[in-house]
Amino acid sequence: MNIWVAFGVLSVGVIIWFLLVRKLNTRTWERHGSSVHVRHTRGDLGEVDVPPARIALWVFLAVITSLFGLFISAYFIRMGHGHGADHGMISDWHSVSKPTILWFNTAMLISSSVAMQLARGALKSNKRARVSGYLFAGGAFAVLFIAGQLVAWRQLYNSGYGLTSGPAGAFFYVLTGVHGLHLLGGLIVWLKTVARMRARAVELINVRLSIELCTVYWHYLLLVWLVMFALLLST
Amino acid sequence: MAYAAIADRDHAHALHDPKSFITKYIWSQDHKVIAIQYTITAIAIGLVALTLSVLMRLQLGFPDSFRLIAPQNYYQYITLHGMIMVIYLLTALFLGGFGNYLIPLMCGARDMVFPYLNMISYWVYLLAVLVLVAGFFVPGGATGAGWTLYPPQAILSGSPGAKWGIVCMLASLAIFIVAFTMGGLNYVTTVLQARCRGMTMMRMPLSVWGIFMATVLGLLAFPALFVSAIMMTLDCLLGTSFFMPAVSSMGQPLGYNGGSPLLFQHLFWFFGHPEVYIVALPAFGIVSDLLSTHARRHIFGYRMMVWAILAIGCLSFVVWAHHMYVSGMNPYFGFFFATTTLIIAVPTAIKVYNWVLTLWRGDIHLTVPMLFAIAFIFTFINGGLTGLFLGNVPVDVPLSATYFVVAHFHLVMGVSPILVVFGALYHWYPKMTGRMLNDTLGRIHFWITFFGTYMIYLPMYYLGILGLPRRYYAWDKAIQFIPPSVHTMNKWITVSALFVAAVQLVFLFNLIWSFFKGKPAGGNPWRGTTLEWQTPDTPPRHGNWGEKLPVVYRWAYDYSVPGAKEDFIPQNVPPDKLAPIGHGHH
Repeated sequence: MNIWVAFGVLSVGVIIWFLLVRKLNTRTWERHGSSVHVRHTRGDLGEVDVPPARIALWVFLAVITSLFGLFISAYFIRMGHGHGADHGMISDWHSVSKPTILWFNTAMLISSSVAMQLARGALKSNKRARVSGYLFAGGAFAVLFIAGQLVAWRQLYNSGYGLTSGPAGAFFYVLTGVHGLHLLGGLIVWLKTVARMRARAVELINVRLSIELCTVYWHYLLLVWLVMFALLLST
Repeated sequence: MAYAAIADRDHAHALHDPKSFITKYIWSQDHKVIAIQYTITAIAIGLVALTLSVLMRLQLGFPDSFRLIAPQNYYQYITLHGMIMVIYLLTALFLGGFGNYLIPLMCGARDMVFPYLNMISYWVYLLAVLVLVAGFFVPGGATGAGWTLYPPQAILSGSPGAKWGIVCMLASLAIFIVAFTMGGLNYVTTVLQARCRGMTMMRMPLSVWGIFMATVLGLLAFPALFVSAIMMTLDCLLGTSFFMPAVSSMGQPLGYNGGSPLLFQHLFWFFGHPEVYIVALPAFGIVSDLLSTHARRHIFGYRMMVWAILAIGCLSFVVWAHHMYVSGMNPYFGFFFATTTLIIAVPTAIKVYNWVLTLWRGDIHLTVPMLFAIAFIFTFINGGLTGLFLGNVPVDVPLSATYFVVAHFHLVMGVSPILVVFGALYHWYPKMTGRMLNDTLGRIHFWITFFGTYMIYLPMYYLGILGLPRRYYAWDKAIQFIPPSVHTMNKWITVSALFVAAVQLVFLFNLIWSFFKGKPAGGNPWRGTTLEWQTPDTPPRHGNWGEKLPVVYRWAYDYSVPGAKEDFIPQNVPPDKLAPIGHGHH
């Protein structure tokens, strides 16, 4: 264990300790504190406290971080780091050629995230048509991303890298598959939100939280994809 | 929609009462019903695991006397016994059962914040249990890979259930993790957001703290098992080589190449060690409340107890490789993990001292829950101290894979948490049903379980030091250095195990009999301070608190406050309702 790991652990520890001490003293039943107050004075949407769904989403993001983090560390270990490949032992890792369509897919996912962000922004100005337009675009780009990923699978398979071709190919399918499933899960929530938006009786304010949380989730999955894409390209 | 903090919502605003029998008891969204569903399912599958352990003991104590226990059956029993007890019984019972029941009641909430998700969580858990049980009936039977499921042998022919049994096991685990994640999101969010007025985090009962931290550990650690389950399933079904090295079977190469079995071990134990604390932390929390209530004394060092729970939780993520000392790791690696392992003994020891100091000069009532709580302290110390031996690499290497390890982990994470489960059931059964469990049957259950488990596990330390290897179906002809006395000892252990197993039926009978014929309990039979004892109805109705949510003015441990009229002050008693000289705790 070198000194940097120890230092890293120590700083993480201090940060966690600081956050904990703050959290231990919060009083959720009182209407002050946090960013909420600021938003309230700016005016507007009637909310004064952090809704449970927002907390649950962040906890869930922590769970997925653990999941993808472990997949990625498994990726490195399977490549041979930590098993002596650094010291001249032979590894069976052969990188696979990455389908070019992945760049297109990345652009789709970025557009998707941007559209969701714009939908979230349009909420503030209370323009219903713009909100639904951007929201729809966000989902559509995500669907394109998933379709593109399936094309990428097909291309990879046709170029001779099936699931059993070797660890690099297998990891490609597993990582993109797990990421795609998470996005699909997000699309189900998105679909419910869109359906609610279409019902005339629903006020914009009632779907606001769903749209905000979808946006956070979308940004997060974009981040995961960018990290994974960088990993896949570099190995 | 104007937004009201959860602590201010009235009953009608927060919940819709169920109308029919089915929505009330089957597809229920009430946390109390879900808790009881979890508890009953966990106990039912736990009885299966108990039966399996009896069958194993019969083979070990009286080898060759029972024709129905073939070697492959023995390995299936070992595997399923371990997996069921750790995950499907203890994890589900502590978090799904007690977590569901106690979090909203102790925090003063009407329900979990996402009742629908909570309901789904239970049904998915039930599905996981059914898939697990289905493993017994698929061609080839259940997996016999040992609960650690190490590849490559777990999916090679030669291991029982290498074809379908292992797939059922992995699928069941993945489903369980989905169920747990849904439940876990609920527990964490409820604790963070739905506490009633006045219930600061530092006023929460330690039961809630233990369950809360265990849930956090579960949410972060179960993904490791999920990752390994997915990759192993792919290895098994689709022929990838994540974990499978090049292997030949019967002279034929199997098509695997270059996979890393050690990678599986790292992933498994990155989950597996926090799992120990997922089971232990709720037990720590609950036992603190049992000791305090029945000793009529405040818990000693409340803040220290909370910080110890947090410290144990964080440290539990950096000790996993102490399960792998014999895997041929770098000595520096072993040194690091031995150090962290021994460091974790510090917060744990703090907790043990505080439990003992809580009893010191307390007004101890030796009720059945208290007997179990005190038995927990003994057993945890016995199991925990031997952990210090096994945590050191040079001591672990010769003791690894012997009965010493079996005795250690059974006492520290099998018997200890189970004693707390029993204590907690005796303690909260009156709140769940409105009736007391029978005291005499409870005492019979306690003494036989307590002494019986010592008769079983203390001799195993000795067997382990003699070098008796664990996981063996039989060794009488195979291993020459085992002295004959070991066989006598094994008979003794088996007979004790039969007694302990049998007396659990007395407990089961007590649970059912008392439900109909038990003495009516009243609202607060143990004169407890925490909120669940202050509900307007017992058992609490849907919504828990009637029209108005409780308001909390003090911590959970105002027992025997000098000058107070009674020897306990419930958390929701305001300062102006007290006799003038009786000052509440700050």
